[in-house]
Amino acid sequence: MSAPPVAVQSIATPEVKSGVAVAVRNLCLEYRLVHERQVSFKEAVIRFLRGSAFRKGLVERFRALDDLSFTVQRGEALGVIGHNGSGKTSLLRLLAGVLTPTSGVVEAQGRITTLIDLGAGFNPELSGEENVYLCGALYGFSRAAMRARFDRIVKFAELERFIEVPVKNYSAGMSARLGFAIATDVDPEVLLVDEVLAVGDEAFQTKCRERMNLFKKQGRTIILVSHDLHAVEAFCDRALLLERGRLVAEGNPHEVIENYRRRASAAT
Amino acid sequence: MIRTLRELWRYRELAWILVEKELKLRYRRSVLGFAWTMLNPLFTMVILTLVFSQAMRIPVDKFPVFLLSALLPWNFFSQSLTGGSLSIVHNESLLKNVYTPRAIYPIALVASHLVNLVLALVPLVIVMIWQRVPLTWSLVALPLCLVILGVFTTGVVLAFSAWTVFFRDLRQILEVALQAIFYLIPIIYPLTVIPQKYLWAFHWNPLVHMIFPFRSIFLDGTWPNATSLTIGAACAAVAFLGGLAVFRRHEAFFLHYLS
Repeated sequence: MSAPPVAVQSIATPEVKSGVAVAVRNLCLEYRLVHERQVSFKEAVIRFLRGSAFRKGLVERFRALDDLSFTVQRGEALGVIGHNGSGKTSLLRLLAGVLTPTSGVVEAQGRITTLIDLGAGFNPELSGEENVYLCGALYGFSRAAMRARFDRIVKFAELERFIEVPVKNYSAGMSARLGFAIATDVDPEVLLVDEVLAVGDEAFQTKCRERMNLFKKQGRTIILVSHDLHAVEAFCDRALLLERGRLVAEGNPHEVIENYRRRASAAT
Repeated sequence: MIRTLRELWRYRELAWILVEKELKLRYRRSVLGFAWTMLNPLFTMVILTLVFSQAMRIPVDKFPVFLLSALLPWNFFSQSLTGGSLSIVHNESLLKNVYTPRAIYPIALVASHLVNLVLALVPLVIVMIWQRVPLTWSLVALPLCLVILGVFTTGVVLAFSAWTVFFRDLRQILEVALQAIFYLIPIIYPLTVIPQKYLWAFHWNPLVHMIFPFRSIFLDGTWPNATSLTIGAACAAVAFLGGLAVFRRHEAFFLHYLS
């Protein structure tokens, strides 16, 4: 979940040095959608025999993000809101470097860590402990570096008694806690968060919120994608509103949320 | 290309952890665990020896060693390919959420099978002692043979792991094709039973040039044929660069077809 500087083109542009953590310029993403998703052999042959007109129809392009440009200052907490399908998650994946933009660039300064889909990196058959090291390596951390963090991670996740149990025997809350504990212990400079602050019970949520607030105080950059408008309003310094892949509003979270609500009620 | 290779190198620690994960998971919850890596080829050897050497009377001396010395590298290739072709599809949730060089997944899978191959050489040595086939200095050539076969397999697996994302039937096609290819390589029969006019088909098969050196080392106790090694190395280089090129051409679109 950490994008190394090579993948997300980085560093040394004057803009980045002047306190911009993430700069997005003219970012476009076109999905190649396949109608049947998986083309089977028979279909492929039939389509081939029917001629190229049909074959062309097989792949449809869908523009998920359209000419997005914005910057995020270092230490800023940015909220991204919008309806389902407005391109929020695609944007996050582009920032994380797991999707490649069709055109445009993402320039990032520092280690980007994603909290998308907590625990997605976990292997259910491996124990919690083994997963800590696996996840650490996925974030680009060596075994030695993770060993130093291990106790703290386990303590934060409150999993002391279960750390040797396979993750498949964890409850959803337990694995989410472990995921959050790992992702936030690996010194994220830019943290991408997708809709996950509502994990675990009340007490753990409070701990999460505290840690997020601590990050903010430490001047780390946070990009939060959420349907939870209250969280965005309370936590973020600035917000973006996406609508069908376009950036339609940007600014003070309160105003952007008002804008979003107006549009939502106008649409119905 | 260079950048991709350099990035893969930076992620070598992850590769090791992925290899370890593969090995751990393969035998998790089995009583004999790792011993299976060594027992499995032994059982195969017993069965094939009974069928081909005893029942069908294939005229080969020291048949168990003859068989195992070629069967083990073949198993490595075929298991890497069937497992590796799905390595992108199976790692979907990681690819979706975590930035890593994507090629690391197929590469780690091949590496885990390479570890298996090395472990499976242990029972081969035991069989050699039992069959009174001496181990000679030719063993020095083993790492080179492993590297050639490993690099070749990695290249092929890289290409197939990418193609399988777009065309899932490939896995089934591969399984059938591998069955056919198995008989196209002199693993259970010696080259001497092949009529002269078909020999060219074996000389043009790169896998023959990669598997035969293992037989030279373990059965004949001689340095592998230099021509085979050269052809093998050249094919490995071409396969690796070609496979990586295919992979890089498609990797940006993996997520469009997964999820």
